[in-house]
Amino acid sequence: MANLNIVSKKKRTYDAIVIGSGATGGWAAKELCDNGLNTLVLERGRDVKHIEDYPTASKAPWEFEFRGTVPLDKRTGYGSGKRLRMETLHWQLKDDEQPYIAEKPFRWFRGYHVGGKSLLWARQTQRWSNFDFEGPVRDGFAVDWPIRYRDIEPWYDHVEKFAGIAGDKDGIPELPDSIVQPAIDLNVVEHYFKEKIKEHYGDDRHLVAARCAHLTDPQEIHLQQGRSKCLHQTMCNRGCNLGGYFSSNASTIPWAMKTGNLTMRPDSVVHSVIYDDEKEKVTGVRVIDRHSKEMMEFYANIVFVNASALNSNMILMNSRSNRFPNGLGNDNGLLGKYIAWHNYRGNASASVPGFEDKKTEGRRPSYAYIPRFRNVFEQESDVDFRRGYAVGVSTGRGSNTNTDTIGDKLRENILNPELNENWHIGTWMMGETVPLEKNHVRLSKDKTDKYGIPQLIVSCEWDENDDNMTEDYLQEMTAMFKRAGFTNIDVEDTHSPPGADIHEMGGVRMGHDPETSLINKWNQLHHAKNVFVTDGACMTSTGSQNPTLTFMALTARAANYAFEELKKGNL
Amino acid sequence: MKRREALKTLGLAAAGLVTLPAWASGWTARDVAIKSSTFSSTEQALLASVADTIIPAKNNVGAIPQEVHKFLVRLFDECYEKEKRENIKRQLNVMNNLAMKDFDSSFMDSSQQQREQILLSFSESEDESEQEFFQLVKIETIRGFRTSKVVMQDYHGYRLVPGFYNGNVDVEA
Repeated sequence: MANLNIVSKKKRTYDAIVIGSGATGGWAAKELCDNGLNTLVLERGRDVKHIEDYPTASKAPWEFEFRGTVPLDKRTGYGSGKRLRMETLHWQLKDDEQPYIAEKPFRWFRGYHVGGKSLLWARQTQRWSNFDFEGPVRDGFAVDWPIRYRDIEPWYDHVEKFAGIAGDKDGIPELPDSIVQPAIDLNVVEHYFKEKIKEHYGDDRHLVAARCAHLTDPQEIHLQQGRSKCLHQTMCNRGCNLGGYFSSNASTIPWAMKTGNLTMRPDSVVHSVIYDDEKEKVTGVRVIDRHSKEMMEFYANIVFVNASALNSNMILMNSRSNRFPNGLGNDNGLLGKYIAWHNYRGNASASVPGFEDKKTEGRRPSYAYIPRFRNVFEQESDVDFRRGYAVGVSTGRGSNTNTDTIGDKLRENILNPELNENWHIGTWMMGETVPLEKNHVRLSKDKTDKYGIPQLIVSCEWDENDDNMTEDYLQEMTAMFKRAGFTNIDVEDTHSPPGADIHEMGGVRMGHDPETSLINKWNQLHHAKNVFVTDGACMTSTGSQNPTLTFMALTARAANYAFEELKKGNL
Repeated sequence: MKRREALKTLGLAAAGLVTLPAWASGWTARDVAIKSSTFSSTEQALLASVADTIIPAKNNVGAIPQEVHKFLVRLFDECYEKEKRENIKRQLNVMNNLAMKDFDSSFMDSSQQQREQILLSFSESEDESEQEFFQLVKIETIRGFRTSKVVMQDYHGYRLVPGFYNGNVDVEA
């Protein structure tokens, strides 16, 4: 019997365990496998294989019986208020899978399937600069980042070369250049707006083609992944049969699989990380099988926690031991605190006079982007908030159809839509939020989910800094529009709740000091060095850039460090 | 398909509708009423006639050639709450009675102009459920038509795989 147990335990022992298979879990798996480590990836959701599990990826609108509308009998279990569509219904999470308690309004988007949110993301990849890493220490909030741009720069390069980024070399200090393939170009109105901004603001404000994880000129490394050029289908959130955009499913996971070192275990809900009080280190992970509900253990020398920001917090909080009664690595009580996100509350739109003789053709999977311009080089004296916001910009010339009538006239109107008189511009703010201790997540003491895991309580809210920043965005956008000659300007604070941005971060923040942070500059838990937290949970501050690229670069960096440390016998 | 055959497949003869709607003359054998529907074959025929009135066919392009009537039946059956569906059926009946009263013929046998007149009277009705019926069927008929393969590809230039984006195209005069 004892012998059988040893055999069984050995079969469940790996060099490394990665919790989660999204953008960062995929990167951890790739780097660890490339280094020859026998790696187990645990994904709580179902398996999603590239191409074969994208049932709607090549369907035209008319091939959906209800043209995308979800039949009533398929809507049950998703709760109300969700915009369900047949194109993407298979990615939706049922409410009973992981109920949570929003103590204050909060929306928690999750991608619980192999590939996670990397399959569904907006694919925008702007680098951080030192203005972001130095933010907390300059402006006196959170704690100092223990890393700077030079620490992450080679890892941005590393990730970008493999993922494939479309963009320009813009030479803007606050938005360092990426390793790029040709940009998905701006249109004629965006070029005009870019010039107008330059005319009025000089080098203080820029409009550029957003950098995005699309292949516009696939290189050998991408062909090796089996991916090909983006063909602008713009149905990305169904999965892309071409691998035209980066996802774990199309890129890192199959790559890791090819090394022969990866074991992928879907349907594995992580309960907690196992800390051995005698060995004084983490020895593995407890998992509940989603189907059998059986609890089982897997063992490894190192554990990467990449379960998505809030879920990673949850797992660590639920990892209790004699040594860590309040959650793994949580001696200072800060685990789950200083949650932050991005402020997407502001929208602004306008009409663009002129350009009546111009239109667009084809489709575009990306946007234009205005990097943060507020408080970049210093805290500006006339600005009543800290930090700043970037702006997403989308323009186009739609068409319209008069449907007031019925009969022959209606048919002809529909068959012959008229180009809109004017082009339209729409912009949205992407604001940095300042992490505050009161914005936190914690485990419920009495409510559990169907796996017996305590439910997460989310307690996050806007504060005055966010309100003032939103107001400034609305004013500045109005001013920029006016200076460009745009009309019918409409601005709005949508008051969307925190989390609606899908950029929640923090709770396991990085810092120099174990007294005030949870992980060190290598993403290792200060008090459990063989555990690495490299998803959004690790973020000390949020920047204003779409964060996934930075998470991925931090992950690749940490994974290679972990391998080196393991080799040296330090873990 | 001959009018008589179409009539038979729709089961309209049994429903007591003797004459065949004009729009059915272009039907092919695949255009049979959907059997497993909560809409009776008469209701299906009426609904088809409404769709045909909203977007009549020309050169084989319109609600019926693009099979919008089938889309509507399935959509209302599967995607709408019973209450809304029942209202649609009720109003179809009201509409047909109105045609009998005003024009001395079934809705389907009325002329396009007469049918338009009846539908427009629903759009201006003070009875909310009549207005709702009209708006709903109109919106969904337009949606079904606009998202059909022929309209999207042949008229709106839709390509599943465009392969490009050009943000600076001259508008042809």
